[in-house]
Amino acid sequence: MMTEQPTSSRPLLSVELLTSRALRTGVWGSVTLFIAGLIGTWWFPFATSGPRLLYAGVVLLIGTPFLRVLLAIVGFSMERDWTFVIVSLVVFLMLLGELIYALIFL
Amino acid sequence: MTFSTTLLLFFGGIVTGTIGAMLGLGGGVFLIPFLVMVLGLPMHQAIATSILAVIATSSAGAVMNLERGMVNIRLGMLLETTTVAGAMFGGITANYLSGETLRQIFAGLLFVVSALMFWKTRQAPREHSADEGLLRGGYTDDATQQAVRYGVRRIPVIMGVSLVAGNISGLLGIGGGIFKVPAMTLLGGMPMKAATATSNFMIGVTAAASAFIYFVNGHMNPMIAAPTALGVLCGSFLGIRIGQKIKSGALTLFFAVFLLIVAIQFVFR
Repeated sequence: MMTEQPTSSRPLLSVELLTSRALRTGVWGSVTLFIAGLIGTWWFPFATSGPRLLYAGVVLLIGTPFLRVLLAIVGFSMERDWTFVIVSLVVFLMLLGELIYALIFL
Repeated sequence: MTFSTTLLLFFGGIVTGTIGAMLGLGGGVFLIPFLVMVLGLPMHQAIATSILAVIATSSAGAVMNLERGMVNIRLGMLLETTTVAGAMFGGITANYLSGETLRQIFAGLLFVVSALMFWKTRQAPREHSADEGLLRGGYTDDATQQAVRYGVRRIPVIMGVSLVAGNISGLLGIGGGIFKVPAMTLLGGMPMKAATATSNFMIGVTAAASAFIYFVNGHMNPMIAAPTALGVLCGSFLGIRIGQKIKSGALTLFFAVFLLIVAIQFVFR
């Protein structure tokens, strides 16, 4: 748990690479869906795809942090840092619990 | 929803996102008053919209900070255990409170944020300790090109502050960095840049913890949330660039007074 992180001149750790890729993919994916959805809604008002693309963009953006935590578990596993595999797993299970709560009780 | 409203949401997002990023506050503190007072959105919908914008800006900012090695990823993951718990509780609570109650609580928050901003203008930069603490980290400072190393002290206390920050985030739709960054620097002894990057890294997960609750409850309207999130995202990039050039205590003081006026309007509206 008391792992020292070297300075930024080092190569990035597996966990940093994986989480940054997850975030980059999620943000740019949702931005693309938002732009396509807004164009579809205002320029092609009779097509139903515009609002659907916006909806998909919202779901992707909310899901991005979930993916980031999931890939942190993988990254810490690759670094064999089991303490932080468990810490990340706890965060992921809490997020999953919230999702299940929202779907069942709301 | 008209085309002009979509444009207003986009440009409102740019302005609030720029101001938030310039001051290191995130967009929510300025975005929610804009959505409620200018566009007349109900509080729950304004909070849900802000949460989505917070996820977008935090995720985009975290990519840059991770690639520059600024984020103490282990500390971030550890603190997320308490911020996520707080945010879940905040999100669930918010759905049982009326819009009027949330508005009054938000006004109280604006008073606190305004006071913290006044206090920030009077604080001298603190030296961090490289020799003490756990979860040691390091990065190369872009301004000085020097390697900075540090350890983190009082982690249980910072976890407690993160729980409260997460709760406020879930309840009121702000990032919560205004509470976490001072806790990490003043209590934990972290350098400001590492604390800001680590807080920003955590904020997306904290916001996601309550986002689904608002989404499933129907408070997150994609027609409103999408142009706003796009605007805030553009504004945050702009704000970071402007903020690097303008380091003015007077600017912080101006917006502290501005938030105080907004808070008073929220109370008596």
